[in-house]
This record gives sequence, C-alpha cells and structure tokens, in this order.
Amino acid sequence: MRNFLNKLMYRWKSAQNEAQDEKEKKQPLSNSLEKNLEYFKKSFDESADLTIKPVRILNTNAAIITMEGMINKETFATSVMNPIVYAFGEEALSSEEKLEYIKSNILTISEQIDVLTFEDAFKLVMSGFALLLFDECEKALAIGVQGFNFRSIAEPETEVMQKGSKEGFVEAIRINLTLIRRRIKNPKLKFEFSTVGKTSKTDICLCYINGTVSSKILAELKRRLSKIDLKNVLAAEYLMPYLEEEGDLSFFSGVGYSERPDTVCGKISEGRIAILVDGTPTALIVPYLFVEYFQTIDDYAERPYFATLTRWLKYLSFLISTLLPGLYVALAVFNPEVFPDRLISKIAYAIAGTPFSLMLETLIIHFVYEIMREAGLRLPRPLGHAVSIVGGLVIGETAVNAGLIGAPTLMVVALTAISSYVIPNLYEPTAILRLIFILVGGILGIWGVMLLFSVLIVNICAKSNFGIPFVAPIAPFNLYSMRDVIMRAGWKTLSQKTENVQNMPH
Amino acid sequence: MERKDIITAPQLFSLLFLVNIIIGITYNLPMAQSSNMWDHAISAAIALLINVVYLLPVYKLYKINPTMSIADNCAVNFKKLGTVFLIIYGVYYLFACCYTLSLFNIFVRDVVNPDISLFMLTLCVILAASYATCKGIEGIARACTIILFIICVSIAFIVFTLIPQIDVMNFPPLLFEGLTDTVNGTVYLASLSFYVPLAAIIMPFSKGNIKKTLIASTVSIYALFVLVIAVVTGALGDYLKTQSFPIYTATSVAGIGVFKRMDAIYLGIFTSGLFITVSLFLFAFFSVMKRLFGEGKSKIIIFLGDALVLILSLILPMFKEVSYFFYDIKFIFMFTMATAFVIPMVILIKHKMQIK
Amino acid sequence: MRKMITIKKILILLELVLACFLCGCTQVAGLDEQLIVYGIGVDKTEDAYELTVQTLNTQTTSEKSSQEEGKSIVNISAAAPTLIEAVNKIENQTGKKILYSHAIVLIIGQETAKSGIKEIIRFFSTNHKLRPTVEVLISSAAAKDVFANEGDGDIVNAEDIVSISKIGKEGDDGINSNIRYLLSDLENPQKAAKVWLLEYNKDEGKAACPQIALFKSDKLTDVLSEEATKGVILIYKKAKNIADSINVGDMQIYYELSKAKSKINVSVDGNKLVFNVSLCADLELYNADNLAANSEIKPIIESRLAELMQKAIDSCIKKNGCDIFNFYRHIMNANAGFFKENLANLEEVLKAADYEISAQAKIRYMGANQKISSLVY
Repeated sequence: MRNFLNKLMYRWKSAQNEAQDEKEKKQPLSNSLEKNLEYFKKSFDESADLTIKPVRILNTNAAIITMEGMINKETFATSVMNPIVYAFGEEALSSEEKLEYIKSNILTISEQIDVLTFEDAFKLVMSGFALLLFDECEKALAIGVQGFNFRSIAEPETEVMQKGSKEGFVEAIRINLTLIRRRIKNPKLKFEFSTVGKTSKTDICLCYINGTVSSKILAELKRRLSKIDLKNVLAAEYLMPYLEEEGDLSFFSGVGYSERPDTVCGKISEGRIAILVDGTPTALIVPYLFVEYFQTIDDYAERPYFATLTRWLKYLSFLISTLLPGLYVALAVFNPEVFPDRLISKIAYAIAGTPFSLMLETLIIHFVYEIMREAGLRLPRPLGHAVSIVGGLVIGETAVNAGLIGAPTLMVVALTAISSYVIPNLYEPTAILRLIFILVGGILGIWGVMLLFSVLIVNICAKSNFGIPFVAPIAPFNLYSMRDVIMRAGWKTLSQKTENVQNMPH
Repeated sequence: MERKDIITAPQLFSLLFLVNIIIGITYNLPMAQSSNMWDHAISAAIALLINVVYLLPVYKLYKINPTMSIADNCAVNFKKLGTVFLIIYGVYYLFACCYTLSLFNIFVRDVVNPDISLFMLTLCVILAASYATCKGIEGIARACTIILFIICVSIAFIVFTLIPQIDVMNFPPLLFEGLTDTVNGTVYLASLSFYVPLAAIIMPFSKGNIKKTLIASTVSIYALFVLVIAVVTGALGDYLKTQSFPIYTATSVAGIGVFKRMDAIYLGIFTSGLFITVSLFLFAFFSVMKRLFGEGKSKIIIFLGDALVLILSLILPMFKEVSYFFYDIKFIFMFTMATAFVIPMVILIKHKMQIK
Repeated sequence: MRKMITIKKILILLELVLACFLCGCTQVAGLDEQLIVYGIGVDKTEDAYELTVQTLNTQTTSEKSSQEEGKSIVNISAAAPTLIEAVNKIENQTGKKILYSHAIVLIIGQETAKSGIKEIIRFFSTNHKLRPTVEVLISSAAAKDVFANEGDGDIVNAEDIVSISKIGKEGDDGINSNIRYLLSDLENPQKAAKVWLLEYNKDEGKAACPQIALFKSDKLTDVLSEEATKGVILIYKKAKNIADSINVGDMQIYYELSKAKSKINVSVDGNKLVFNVSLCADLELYNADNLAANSEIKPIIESRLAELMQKAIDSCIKKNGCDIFNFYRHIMNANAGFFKENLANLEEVLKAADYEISAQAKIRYMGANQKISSLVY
C-alpha cells in the first residue's frame, strides 16, 4: 500500500514538473540580456558545451550563444563575429532597431531566424545556430552557422546495388534534403519540417511533390504524426508504428524505408511521401505496397528480361524462405509419399540417425543459425571470420558427423537462410513466420501449413494503409500495373503512363 | 443504406467460383445416388439452366436496390415474416457451413485418413475462417483471388497430366442406363448451388457489371465441372466405381516425372479454398445475424455459430439417422431452392404489389 | 475498435495455446518409426498367408555408408491366418508401422493366385497410403523367393522387378496391370483381369516377364503362351519393342516392332458379332539381306502378326472366355441395345463371334548389307 502511494506521488510530481517545464519553455524572451543569459545558464545547468560570448555591438550590450562543436567556427568568425564586432551605424537606434540593422546590413549569412521564445531559442542553438541577443530587446536572432561533423556520403551497406548511384543518406537531415533536391530539380518538390519527441525535439521533414501527392494521404499523415507521443525519437523506425493503421497486427509493415536517395526519389515521383528523420540515415516512405518489397533500383537499371528473372527469383525466394522448412517438416512427417523414392531413403537415413524429432531438429538449427547471425552482426569485424569458421565447423560438419542433425535438414535450413537474404527488407517477418510454419507443419502437417498460409494471405490482403490496399495491384487486380509486378517492362512501356499510388484500385 | 467494403465484380466472380470448386472436391457418387459419372455431364447442363433461373429473382432484387442484400430486403419488405425469412437464411448458411465441413471430415477420415486429430483440424479451420470473417469481405475477396489462382493452376496441372491417360473406351454411351443417373445428378448439382444465396448477400458489396459476373460464374462453374467429369471419367474409367470421391482419386493418379502422388499437396491447396468457403458462409451468417439482432449481439451469436458448426460437422457423420436426412439431396435441393429462388421471388412479388 | 482488437488477440492466443496441446504431435509416427516398404510379396499356404515385405534398412544409420552402398534393403516375412495379422506380426517384430506409400510392386505367388486375389488386392488398395500405380505381378515361384536369392545371397530389388515388367510396353494402359486397373477389372463382371507373370529362376537368380496370366473373376485360370502374349500386346492398342522370328524357306529372320497400333471395330450381323481387328505396324527386319524375293517377306510377316493376334483371341476368348480386350465396351458403344439384350450371356456371344484379323506392316531393312538404309514399303 505504501509503495503504491509512493508511486502515485512520484507520478503526480513528474507530471507537475513536466507541466512546469512546458510552461517555462513557452516563456517569451525577456527584455533584459542578463535575465536571458541567466535563464540559459540555469536551463542548461552550466553545461560544458554551452558557450556564451558577451560582445558590445553599436555601443549596446549583446551576447552570442552557441553550442560547442555544433557550429562552423570559420564561418562563425568570418561571417558573424568579424562583421558585427566592427559594425558601425546609428547608435541612437533602439536595441530592436539595431538588431534589425545587423540582420539586414551587416550579417552575410542567408539563414537568419527571429526568435521570440526560449523554446525556439533552445531548439535552434542545439541545432547549430548561433543566437544573438541584445540588451533591452525581446527578440533574438538565430544565425545559421551549422558546422557539426557528419559521416561522409557513401553507399549504404544494407542496400548494395550493382548499378546506379553509390550515394546514401547520412545522419544530417539537411544533407539528405540536398541529395533529394539534386535528383528532382522541380520546384513542386516540397520539404515540410516538423518536430517529434517531447524531449529529443527531433527534426523530421516530409518530402513530396505538390500535385502528384494525394492531399488526403498527406493530411492523414500529418494527423498521425501529430499524435506521436514519444519522448525521444532516436531513429526513424520509432515512428513506424504510429504511421500504420490503428489496430494493425500484421507481420508486414505498410511503411517502407530506404537509405538510398535514388529509391526515395522514385517513390516520391509516384505520389508517395518520404519522411526524413534527423539523426537517422533512413527515410520512411508511405504508403508502401507489398509488391514494393520485391522491387529494387537495380531492376530498373538492368535489361527487362533479366530484371523479370530476378523479380521472379525474389518471389520464389520469399516463398522458399517462409514456407520451405514448414513444408519439409510437414511432408516428411505426415506425407512422405510426396518425396521421390530416392529422396525418401536419404531423408529416412538422416532421421533415423538423429536423436531429435524432425520438427525439433529444424527448430534447433534455425535457432542456432539466428544466434550466429546475431553474433555476426554484433561482433567487431576482425572477429567476424571466427564466427563464420565456428559456424561452419560446428553446425556444418561436426554436428552432421556426430549424428546430432541430419544433412537434408541442414540443407533445407541453409537454402532458407540464403533465400531470406534475397529480400533483406522482409527478413524480420519471414524469420518469425518460418518458425511458426515449422511448428504448425510439425503439428498439423500440410493442412496446418496451408491453413496458416491462407490466414497469412487474408492478413496481408485485408491490410491497407492510408486507404491504399496493401496488396494492390494484385488484389484488387489491375492488369496494367502488372507490367511492373509480374515482369519488369521496358522503360518505353513504363514511361507511357505513370501510376500514382493513390490511383491503385481499391 | 451506404455501401461499405466494396469488392470488384471479378472478385465476386472468384468468390462464387471458388465456393463451387471446393464443394466439388467432395463430389460423391453414392450421395448423388448414381453409378455413372459420365451422365452427370448432361446433369451439369441442366443444372446450369436451373441456376440461371435461380439467379433471376436474386438479380432482380439487386437491380431494384443495389445497396440492399437479401437480408435487408427480408427485413424491409416483411415484418414478422421477414424475421422468419432471416432465420431461414441464417440456418441455411450455417447448414452450408456444416455440410461442407462435415463432408470434408468424412472425406478426410475415410479416404485420406490423416494422422492428426479431426477435431483439431476442424477447429483450426473454423478459427481461421472466423479470423477471416472478422477481417471483412474485402480481405476475404482479395485473398480469394490469390488462392483461386493457385487452385486453378493445380486443377490445370491435374487435367494436363490426366489427359494422356484418357481412353476413349472409358466413356460409356450417354444415358446408357436410362435417365435415373442424369436426374439424380441434376438434383444433386442443383442442390449444391450454395453460391446463389451467397451471392444474394455479397452482391451489395460489389461494384461493376454484376449481371455479367453472375452469368460468367455460373457458366464457368458448370463448364469446369463438365471438363473435370470428362477427364476423370476418361482417365479412370471403371476404377471410379470403386472410389467414393472421384475428384480426389484423380489427384492421386495424376503425376508427371518425379511429381507423383501429389494428392497431399492438392489437398492442402484445397484446404485453403475450404477456409475461404467457410469464412464466406460465416460472413453471410454474420450479416444475417447483424440484421436480426443488431451489431452488438451478433458478435456473440457468431461465436455460438462457430461452436455449432464445429460440433455439428464432427458429430453428424457419426449418427446415421441424422446424417441420412442431412445429406439427402432432395432435402438439400428443397432448402436451396427455398433460399435461392422461392424467398427472393416472394419478396419480388411483394415489392411489385407494393409499387402497384 | 478496441474490442475488435482484443477479440483478435484472444483468438490468436487461443490458437497458439491450442497448437501446443494438439494431440497430433504425439500420435504421429516419424519416418524413423515407420517401415518404408518397396515391395510386397504374398503367398498363401493351406491355412495361412505369408507376407514378405522388402523395406529400407535404416539400421545402418551412418549416412556415409548409405551413400557408398546405395540403398540398403532388407526382407521381412511373417505368416498368419489373415493378412492383417501378418501385417501386425511384422509391425510387432520390428516395432515400426508399415508405410506403403513407396511400394512399387506387389507379387502374388502363382499357387496363391489360383485361389483368388480379390481379397489381397482389396486389402492393400484400401490402405490410403498405397499408390494406385503399384504394379501387381504373379510369380511362377513363391513371392518370398523372388525377393531373396538365397543362392548368391543378393536381394532382388523391387525396382529391378518393376523395370523388367515394363520392358516392351508403351503407355499406361491395362497391360501394366497396376492396382488401379486390376481393381477395376476385378470389380467389373464383363471384364477379365490380366497380370504379368514373373518367371523367376531361383537357381540362376534371373527374372523375366514374357507371359500374361489370365483371371476368371479373381482366380488365376490360365497363363498365356509367349506367342499369345505377343498377340495380346498387339491387339491392346499400342506396343513397341516386341521381337519375333519367322522362317522364310531355310532362313530364320528376325523382326522387331518399333511401333504398332491396332483398331477394333464391331458390327452385328444378324445375331452374331463380327469383330474386325486391324493392326498397323512399323517394324525393323534383321538377317534378311540375302533374301532375293523381298516382296514375299511382307505378306509373311503380316500373316505372322495376324496369327499371333488370332492365338491371343483363341486363348483368351475362345478357350477361357476372358475378355481382356474390352470387347464388351466396343459392343456397348456400337450397339447398346444388343449389349443390354445379351448382357447375361456375353461370354458365349464373344466365343461365338467371328474375328476378322488383318495386319499391315511397314518394313525397314536393317543390317550391314542394307542397300537403302531407309527403304520402307
């Protein structure tokens, strides 16, 4: 009882503090420079990276506030400090007029924002702006001198393409904007900034093409973004659940993502909206269709016949990676008559020589594979080789020779694993689904596998995001759109009529 | 009334077509009280005409008000009698569900003889179907398109592999043993026209050319049936007389190269179709209950309906007296005629009288 | 909406929980708990059935050894008053359940076949795992002996037996005598069953299928001679690779049919049936290079082919009253009324019928001295 009351008290106090913070943040800047600076110091609690430089401009006390490491010092020195310190003009002007004078006549930086509240001031200072405050002035001037270090533009490791651009997004949102702008030199391409995260105040940017995008989808997206109640948004993927339909329990996401600017530009051109998140080199794309998981930018750079073949390889790989282990277990346990005579003897030998049931054996190998995969991801690179050697030896040769697992089962799992990497975006759902299929196949046989497969199809088919069916244009069927689903038609055909996503049949 | 969950005319076609394919897999000669399957080709032609007649009042009602299903029409045009009609439709859809599932259980138990528990299999089918019903007609229709494609590919494969085995000598002269087999076959096929009352519920959810869809689905169903009868009779010949479920037997002898004895795979594929069929009937039952009891109570009733379907489909094959009545083609024929033709006709006549 | 989500979650949870308690996962027998049967042999003594099954031996669990030696098979036998008891005995002996799904041949001893095979065929055909394409053979020796060659210590493979039985036959017609066709023949009172006879030389360990065994209802009634067997194959729609020899003067020449197709027509002449059996055959002639009068060979060969077919009809229809050619079907299709009238005594009608047999041959000369390699006339 006492603990319960203490918890209640703690919660109430936190809520009170949050409300207080919110109230304080919306507080406007004071007339007094000293009070403003005092408030800054108190808010940042004398943080080491907060830099306050008092200056005297046009015979008036002023101060410049910056964050250590966030500004370009050279630009700051040459384009801000130098001009304003040596500025001359009418000293009889009021502080506000002096600020305007500095803004219009002295500073050479193009990005200048008027700041009236402490909330805006904090946000801009922490975004790499320099804040200029005058005494006896309720307004401040934020000057864009951002110069924080960011990773150089390189090809994303998770989306390697043979042909096409080798550029990928970086963590800085503004650099990402330029990568998109360079590819779509159209004034209708619009960027809309917003903030998410109560504590982190992360910048996000909606990118779309006016006239191509559906206003309904845009409005709905903004509505969903406004309902995000996260405190910290440290990665773009944090936003994904909020962008899905309410109550959606599907394995597959209706929100796509990419680290490639060329892919994102292609999606934007089809009426989709990209969401860039500061601090993440990933752009979210809405709405996203199921068939798009099987489309890569390489498809459009290759010859149509080869691209069609690779497209079908991907469809087949998806089916193999999801269904093969479950089907194998189901058929080997319940319906071995399906296997040809020569194959059944191999499988029978393998099963006879191992201590576990086929279902358990398959599950064990899958789990061991997943452990190895995770280990390979987390290990430092120099040790990566050790993992592959251990994995190959332990699972491959030793386990089979020791009779712990059968070679056919290992073969099935290996094929499944390789197939799952053909569509890396679908790895997560397929990894879970195949485990469920193995369980169902081992318990209910082929009936269970097909029932579950049907349930999965219904689950995917019933899903829609932003009013667009997830399985469009397969269902509802649109023959014309099949030119980029069943096959990859040549560019002369594809360019005849562009299909915007909002025009998908539904 | 406003429309929700719009499905397209091709999706409606695929729903109706699939329902009939699945019912056809458990096509049973003893149940049709026939010994000669080849005469059922003529039965199929006659059943086609009967179904066209069935569809007339249903389509007419749809034309009068495209947003109203048969359940809505019953409730709007009649008061107490409408309630009776709604109950009849509710019972009919449950019956169709139980019939399909129980026959499937008999088929699985006696012919396929799986190692798994029938109870669990039936329960899983019903649970999965309930899930699909919750997702709505849109999800079911879209999934049906994909599943129907897979089923059609498997049927095409079976037909393709059986064609080389066709022996012209296996075809007896038509009407060789008189008209009995043909008449019984016609009654049997016409009694299995569950898709007509189903269409009466689903049509208001559809957009597009419904008339063409209904004609196309009816013609396709019976054309496929005739094709399958021809291929199965030609390939299996007298072997059919020893088999209860000839369509399944055809899948067990169809094979090419190393792809032999694929009946287990086909059965799995047809199970997907069964799942769609059951979910459709449950959806129809749910629509009728919603009309009768309102949305809130209907959800409880759907669970009761699921339980009833589960129990009946498992128990029915065990009791000869009950199952004799339950599987009697004359009873099913009368019931189907009542729901597919008689009741819509009565509503149509009432509507015309009201206009006059 | 939230209620729907809750209901969905409950449904999913219920299914997952139920999945863990499904009794199917404990009742199903894995492949290692089953005997994979390739061949089945049935013999019947006075009071017992002796069942022999050729199964995959999974006792050699090392996969390396299985790769080196190929498939390891073992024969298991059991005797019991009924087949079901014999099956149970084998299952008790091995502790495994028999899996018939990969059985490819069912051999019944000749003596056993004389007392009836319907019970045996029905027993195995009702097993849902058994393929309808399992080849049924009658063996001259006991079925048990066919699977085990005690002389050399080698086990005769079921696959080899089946391949022997398929030599010279084309297509999937009734001559293949698999369970599917055999069952339909046994169930049809108008038809007679026919099955290949496996001649097995126990001492030499050699097997061949040169003759057909005839059945009346389900009892073995006769074994056709090799010539009659060839005739049956010629009449029964398609045949290939049938070899035969004829005497022309002092010389014996050989021919091999590369393709043969027969056609049967029936007409009713008064109250008598007239069957017209015509054969078109392509054949290759050997050892005929030194023959001067080539034009005489064709009619000789054609009459030989007709003679073979006549022998087949005489043996099957005239002597044994076994309609293995589906003549009854031809009558039914040609004259349904006549068929219905004579349904009760169809056997006599067929015996009394006239059979007009003709053959047309296209001959291709083969051999080292052939003047024109593709001469066909």
